[in-house]
Amino acid sequence: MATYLYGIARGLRPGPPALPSVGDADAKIRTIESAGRVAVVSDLADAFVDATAEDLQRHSDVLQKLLTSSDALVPLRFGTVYPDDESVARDLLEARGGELDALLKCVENRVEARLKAFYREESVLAEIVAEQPRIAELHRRTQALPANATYYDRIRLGELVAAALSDKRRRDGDQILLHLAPFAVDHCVEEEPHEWSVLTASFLLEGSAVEEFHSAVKTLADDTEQRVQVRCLAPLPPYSFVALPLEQVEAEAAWAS
Amino acid sequence: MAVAQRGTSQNYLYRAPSPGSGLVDVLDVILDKGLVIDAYVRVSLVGIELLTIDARIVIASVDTYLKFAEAVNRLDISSQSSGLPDLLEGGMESGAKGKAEGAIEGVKDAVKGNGRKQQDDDGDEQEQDEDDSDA
Amino acid sequence: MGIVTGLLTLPLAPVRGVAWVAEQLAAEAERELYGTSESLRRELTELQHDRTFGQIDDDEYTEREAALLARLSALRRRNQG
Repeated sequence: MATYLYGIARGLRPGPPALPSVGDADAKIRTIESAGRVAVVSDLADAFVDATAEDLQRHSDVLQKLLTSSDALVPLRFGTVYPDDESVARDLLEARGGELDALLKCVENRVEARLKAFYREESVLAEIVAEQPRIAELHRRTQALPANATYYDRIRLGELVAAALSDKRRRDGDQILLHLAPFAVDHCVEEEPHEWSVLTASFLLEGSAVEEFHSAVKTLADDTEQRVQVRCLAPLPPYSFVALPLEQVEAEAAWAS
Repeated sequence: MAVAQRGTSQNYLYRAPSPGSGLVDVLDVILDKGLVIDAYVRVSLVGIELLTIDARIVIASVDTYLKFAEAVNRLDISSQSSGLPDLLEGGMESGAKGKAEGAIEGVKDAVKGNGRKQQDDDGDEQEQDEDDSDA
Repeated sequence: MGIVTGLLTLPLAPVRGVAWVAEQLAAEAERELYGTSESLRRELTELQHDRTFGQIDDDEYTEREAALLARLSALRRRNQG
């Protein structure tokens, strides 16, 4: 038997969510409290949690529910398992209490908005070809000759396109941030290994600013519709804005007790 | 809050994830973000950097370049050529219009209608002008 | 294609033994089977991209999501062991 941890909250309205638990649908979701910090947990048979769609969804669903029924929520990464309730109370809520309080303060009444923007392939490629005669020329040449005669030209063409795309991505990404960052308390940008990605970013918003942010995203999306598609998911628990330095604790010792 | 339909090409998608909605939308934050606390609970957080990547944004490789070349060759270039002056004029610099969304505005003007601006939109605008002058 | 490409991009080196080549092939095959963390992210984003542009229906989305999660599970189990 082990204890699965979903998140840590402050000001949690009474009654933990009546939702299916990770790993064991019958296990009740319950709380462990210490000094106003509330760890939301459930019982787990094994120590290792497989990343099934079902369990991943349950983890997300519980946190979404907690977001709207608490004043502050620090979501845990999927898969955090403690040996038992006592270690949650002792080693987490009490031992790291000060740090948790600081995190909870950072996310008090705040939520995350997650944004992903992608280029419309045809639009941006057309731009690139129009802007760079060298690319247009290589394009003409590679279309006029049979494929096996143009191998190196095609590589060169692709390389130039990749470079042009990289420039555009940087500028367009900056423009999106310029447009949206003022509505947020904080934001962070991620590298996205996808050739048509423009930007992947998370924004920390005051709960009261969600609608305003929504409007700003809509305006942006409408303006860029022809060349960039914007996707925004909100409100989310502030996954991207909670981080603590890892503490070195002996793995074997903790699990042996 | 706007609820978007799945499977349609929406301009933007803005909704709170709800039970049963796309897990894929939150998968990266659930697995790669969120609080990670103690080393000893890493036993179950194995592969926590599962989805994170290194510094490369685009995987630069021959395969990628060939894919780009293929994508360009799929374009119908001839229909874009009339839009060339507009694209260059619209520009990408934020200074063009002197406001934060300048570059986006500029590009919107330039590529609105995907280069068909000369043929369609101008025609529409001309019609409107005529109406205005009549009124 | 992946295995051949991998071998072609290896830096030139003195001829190595058959065992070494076999190792490289096995490693590549394993990468293809289980995926690397980078390719998991890429597949995830590709799925999000395709849905953003309405290029796939719910059935295909569900199928690809399931495949992605299966690979994710396999990778987690392998890393844990």
